[in-house]
Amino acid sequence: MCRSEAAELHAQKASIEAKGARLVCLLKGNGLVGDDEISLFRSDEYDEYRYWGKDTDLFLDDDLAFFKTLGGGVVRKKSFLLALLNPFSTMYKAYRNIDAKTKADATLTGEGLIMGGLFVVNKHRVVFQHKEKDFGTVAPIEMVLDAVDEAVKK
Amino acid sequence: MCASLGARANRRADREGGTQGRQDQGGHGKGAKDSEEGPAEGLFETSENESALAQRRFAWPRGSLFIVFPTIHRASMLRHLRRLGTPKTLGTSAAVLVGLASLVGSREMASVATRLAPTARLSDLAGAKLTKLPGKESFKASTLWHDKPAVVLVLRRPG
Repeated sequence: MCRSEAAELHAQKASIEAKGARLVCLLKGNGLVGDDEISLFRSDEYDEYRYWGKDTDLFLDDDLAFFKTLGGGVVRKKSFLLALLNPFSTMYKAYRNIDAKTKADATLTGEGLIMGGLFVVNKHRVVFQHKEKDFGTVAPIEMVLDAVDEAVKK
Repeated sequence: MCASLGARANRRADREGGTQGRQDQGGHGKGAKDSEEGPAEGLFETSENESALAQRRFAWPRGSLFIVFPTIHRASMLRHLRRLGTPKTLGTSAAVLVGLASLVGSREMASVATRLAPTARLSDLAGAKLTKLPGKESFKASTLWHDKPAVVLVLRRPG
């Protein structure tokens, strides 16, 4: 999950909150993410294409517990070179879907090989989980919204 | 003495050569004479020629066609059958392609199932230590979904 995917999900913030859930974002702790990256990620300077709102929750996952849970107990790292060499990689498809402005503004700073994902959780269980299989694969928004419906019901 | 012996030998050789030549000439002459001679001998020769011609004409007896043509037919059928059998290479490559496509498809389906199936337990996540930004306050992850459900985006890279 890169910031373009984060922006895509952030666009659904209103509908998620209307359903009675909250939207949060977790970044890697342990000094893996720099302050500059964080400030650019939610900066007000880029109002037109801000990725994550200033009023939306943003946290650091200090012990990478969420990342480890997505990797089945270990941090799931992927090789960027192998993904580039794989003609069937969904990375290419994901890259095509990113708008030109985001591509122009893209940086390669910071750790980007530990794969992320998404959880929809209520106080009873994990309702929905999505693992970032390849670089840039996102959870289908409709499925996330359905999972929010389900999480709110129980 | 020697010269006389040599001359005698030469003479003998000449005599023998002459006889042979005459015999050859005689042979030819006889043949030519034969063709000009009476009709009885000529008739005999014509029938002999005809039989030779007939032998040549029926060098392949009629019955052999029933052997030759079915053999050719069988051979061509075999070739056709072999051709029918040989698409093995094309079939193999096509099968490999179909196999690859199905492998990719099934891999994709399996990965979709894997990445979407909620295998994580709440207890794995609840104890995680999070830090609020900005402010740097630490708290336990379970407080996120304590009062209402949470959509938690785990971001690979904000850059």
